[in-house]
Amino acid sequence: MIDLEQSEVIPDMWKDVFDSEDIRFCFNCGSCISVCPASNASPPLLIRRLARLVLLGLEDELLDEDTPWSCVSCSRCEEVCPMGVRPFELGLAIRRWQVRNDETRIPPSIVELYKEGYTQPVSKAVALRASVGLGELPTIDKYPEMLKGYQDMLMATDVVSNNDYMFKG
Amino acid sequence: MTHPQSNQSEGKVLVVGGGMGGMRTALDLAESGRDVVLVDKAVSIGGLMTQLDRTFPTNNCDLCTLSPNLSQAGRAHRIDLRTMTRVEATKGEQGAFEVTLTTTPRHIDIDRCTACGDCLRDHPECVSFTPGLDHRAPTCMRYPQAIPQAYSINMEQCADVDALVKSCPVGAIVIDDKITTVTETFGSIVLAPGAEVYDPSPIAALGYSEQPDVLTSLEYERLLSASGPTGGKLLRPSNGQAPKKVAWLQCVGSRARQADQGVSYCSSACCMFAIKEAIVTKERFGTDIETTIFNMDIRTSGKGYEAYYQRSKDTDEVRFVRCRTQNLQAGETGALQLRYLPEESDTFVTEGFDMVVLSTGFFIPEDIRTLADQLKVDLNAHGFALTDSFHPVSTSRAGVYVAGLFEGPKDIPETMVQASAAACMAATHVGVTPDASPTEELPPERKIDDEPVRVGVFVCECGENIGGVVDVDNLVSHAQTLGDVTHSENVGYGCSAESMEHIRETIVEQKLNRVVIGGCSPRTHLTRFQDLLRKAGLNRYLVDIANLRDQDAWVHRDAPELATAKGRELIQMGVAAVRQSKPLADQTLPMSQDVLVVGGGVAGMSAALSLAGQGFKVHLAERENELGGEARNLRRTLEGEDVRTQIEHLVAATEGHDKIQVYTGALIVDHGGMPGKFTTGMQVGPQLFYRQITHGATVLATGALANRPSVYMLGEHDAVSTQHDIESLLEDDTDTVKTWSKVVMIQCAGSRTKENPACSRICCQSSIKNALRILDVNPAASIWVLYRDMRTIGMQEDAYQEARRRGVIFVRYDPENPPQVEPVDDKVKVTFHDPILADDLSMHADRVLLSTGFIADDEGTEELARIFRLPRTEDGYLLEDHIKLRPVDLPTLGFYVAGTAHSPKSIKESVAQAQAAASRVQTLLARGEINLGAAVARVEASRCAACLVCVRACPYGVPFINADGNSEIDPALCHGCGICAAECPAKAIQLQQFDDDQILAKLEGLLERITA
Repeated sequence: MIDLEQSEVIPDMWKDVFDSEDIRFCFNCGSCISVCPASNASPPLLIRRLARLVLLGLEDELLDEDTPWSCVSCSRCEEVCPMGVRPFELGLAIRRWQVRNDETRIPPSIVELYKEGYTQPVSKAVALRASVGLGELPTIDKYPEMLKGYQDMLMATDVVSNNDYMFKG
Repeated sequence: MTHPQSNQSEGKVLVVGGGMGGMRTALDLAESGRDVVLVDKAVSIGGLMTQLDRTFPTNNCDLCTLSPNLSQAGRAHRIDLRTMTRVEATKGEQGAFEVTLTTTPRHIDIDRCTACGDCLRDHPECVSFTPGLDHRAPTCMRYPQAIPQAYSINMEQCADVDALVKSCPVGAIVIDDKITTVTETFGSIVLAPGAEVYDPSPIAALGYSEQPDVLTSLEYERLLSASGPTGGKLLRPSNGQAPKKVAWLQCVGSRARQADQGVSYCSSACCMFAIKEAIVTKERFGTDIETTIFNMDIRTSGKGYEAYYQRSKDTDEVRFVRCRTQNLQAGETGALQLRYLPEESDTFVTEGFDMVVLSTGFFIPEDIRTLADQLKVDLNAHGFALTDSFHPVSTSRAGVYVAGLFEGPKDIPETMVQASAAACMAATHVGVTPDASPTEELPPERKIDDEPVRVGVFVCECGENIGGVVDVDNLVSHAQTLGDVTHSENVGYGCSAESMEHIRETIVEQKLNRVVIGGCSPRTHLTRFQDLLRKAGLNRYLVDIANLRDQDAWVHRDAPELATAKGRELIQMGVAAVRQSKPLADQTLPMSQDVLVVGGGVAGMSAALSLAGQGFKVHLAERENELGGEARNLRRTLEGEDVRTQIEHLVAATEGHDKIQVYTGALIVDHGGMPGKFTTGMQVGPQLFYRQITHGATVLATGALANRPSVYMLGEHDAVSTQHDIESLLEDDTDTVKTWSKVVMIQCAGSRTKENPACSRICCQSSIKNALRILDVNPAASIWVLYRDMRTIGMQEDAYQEARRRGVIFVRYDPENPPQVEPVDDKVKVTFHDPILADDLSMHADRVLLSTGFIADDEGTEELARIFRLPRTEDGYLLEDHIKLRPVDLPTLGFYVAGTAHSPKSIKESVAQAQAAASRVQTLLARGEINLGAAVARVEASRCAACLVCVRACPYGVPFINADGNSEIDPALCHGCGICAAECPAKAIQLQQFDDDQILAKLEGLLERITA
């Protein structure tokens, strides 16, 4: 239950999140999520839910959402959205808004990026790649020295070094 | 309402477009005594509807309901039908438009062509007949019942012109047919050019161009159709196998804002289209076929539509999934995989379907925009003709009217209503002319009482149609062996002009006095041959048709010998029947030209003014003490029109019209008579003064009531009111509106429930109207609309989009889990479930507005229906004659319905139906006299025992026992139903045209085994 009288509700929050009123046209048809690869993630990325949180102005709930960070930038949602909401742009805008509004925010995908060197579930596609004659992906985890250098490089940034406890172990 | 000036000229009306709408307009005008030129750019009339297989609600065959209309349009001599013809230019103004019409050559003489198909068989490259799926192919005669019944030739594609000409057995091919251009004068113009269906190829994700099993709904319709490419078998185009799972995707190309996804408005007809296709799929091809409709909102807001939707879920087990998907992939097994997340679910589904049907909507193509441009008719942003609520079929140019899809996306009933309304309006510029048909001198009817019976049998070969299956010469020689047959011959194409003339000459020369035609269906051809007999100096009831085509050759193609044997028996029956037939006279009575309109709301006043403007005397009976009806409580329409001012104008015009007699405080108490001559009694005024009026026709415009159900604390808490209640507040008390910071609107309050199952049709748009008005007054207000389906049909969708743009929040609720409303001081706490967040939300609203809609005026209409003997729907509205094709006519001739007495509807729709009713009234009254037909019951007095069986059996109360003590039936009152004839124990009653002797003779003829 979300009590709109108690929750932090900012009616005009959408203006702060997004650069245009395109988002207000969303009618929750679900086209975007029907084509979204990140809707396979756990929890799934559900753009229609994010759009709703933005439009209702539910600040706390939107800050709690980690799913915008699992977007793989394929842009298919952008093509199929009948309302021209620009869902992909919306996902990116929510990321920026979250970071602006919570300087300590460490999105879980950055931890993954630090540990694995990439965020995509490429291991799932090994058999598929082989079946169409493509070789194994030269991902960075196959080169331990390079991965080490990559992690050192990330650790040199403020956001990672100030929160280094999250990346170790 | 500014009624058109009575500047009627003795002109004619131009109707552009020969679809359902154009045909209805042309027929209405012709029947009311106006001459019409009906043009269509296609080679045959019928429009989009000819491509449909079956229609709601009875799921019966469309062509069977349509072709009587087509034959009427082809036949009515006041209608000059010109196919392959376009409007090139217009000059002048209402009353005298100068229009240039260009006709491209058909290379076929329509009068000679019998549509035998020989040219197509021999030269398919230059004659096309493709009722199939391939919409790119030139379609020259699109369906077997095409009007005109003629092919067309594309000379450019023809290599051997001489051979083509020779292939035609009746010499109908015209090589040097040229483009013709004529300029003619018309008093008024009706535009009914229709629209086109969206091509889904640009939406690449849906795979329409690549996947053969992805079809448009119209293509799917062709697959279901008996005249379609599979002969009516449902087969997957990819592999010819029967599908087990079919999915429909709604709103393809409609309700979009992104340009490459289609148009922004709702196409209005696709929801019913998909539901019907799903039901028909299960009914005809197996209840085990799984049918799934993916949708955002199911928009079944027309009359009876909601019940059909509920039936599809409950009885037919059609599955509805609330979401859209654009993830369609070809699976490994050949099935089409759809991936989707239902709105109320958190689990993605990937599901295989054998076929995917795209519910594509309507759009206005470039050539129709060009037409509008030539006619200087203003269009809205989407290309539809601009009209307004109080002039629903009037375009921006005086004297030019519009009907059907070109006015806005709509279903068939609304098209039929607008078509009759446009006929009514177009008729205001064109006076009734005397029958312009070539009044050929008919010879006097020959007296045949003293002549021996001489039967002539004429058998049609109709090319391969009959001759290809049935041995016609065998039938001809067999006919010669039958009693009283003095002439028998094979006439080839019996309905061609030459054969008709030959038959007429033969009747005269051989002194034939009975005729049997072995040929087509009497449904399409009986009138033609009856007319022929009359021209030959015989009574028109001396002919019978043996239906060798529809009932023999067409259905027994595989068994020619048996078909010939059956043909012999059909001829035997025809001869036996016609030997017994007698000359009959049609009964007639003069009609009253006065009209009774019951109900003085918007619909009643509009109907009265339309009729009075045409010179009819109108009696307008209103139950209340003042005119205006429910619309008095409305202030603005969604489009912003000022309702109150318009109603004041209507009332003033009605009360001031010298042809309209207004009775307020009037109660209908008794009724009798027949179509064309009714008498109705009413008690008027506080003294209940009794008045009786005689009228030829009756329009019922008794309205519906604003619903006020006891739900969501309505009537218990001051912060809860109906949308209706705040109409005036929004206009006159904006200070109060400014104090509302949170407003919750709840849709379907008291509609689509067990108690009131119908959708009230207008509430979705009125809540959006009020939401936008509240935001105008108080831009900071937060407005929430809790809905089940947003039913903003047609261009109302633009307003729905605008409401979202301005920040109105829309949340769907499930009727199983409706919003909860509880008082919190002077506010109301509303709790509801949001399927998108999968969570409950609660808030304190300053105002809760309930969309309560309409409810039938049960008491009022029950009493009226009893007095007028009219049927009602289960939910108490008046029941029309045919829900799709005759939405204005009530089942009893002479009764018409307009406005919300028919079903919930907007002001615009009510005015259109009122004008339509006025048109339908004119088609009846223009007949001048009541033709009772020849089929009336007659009592043989010597056999009558006065047992009173007929008196009790007659549904119309016609038979009575006269002074001589016998039953007597007034032919002027008899409806010819035949019930008394069947019931009479003494066989004293005969229904003429269907005498016992005649029917028995037919049976004897059938059962008689004459061996040669």
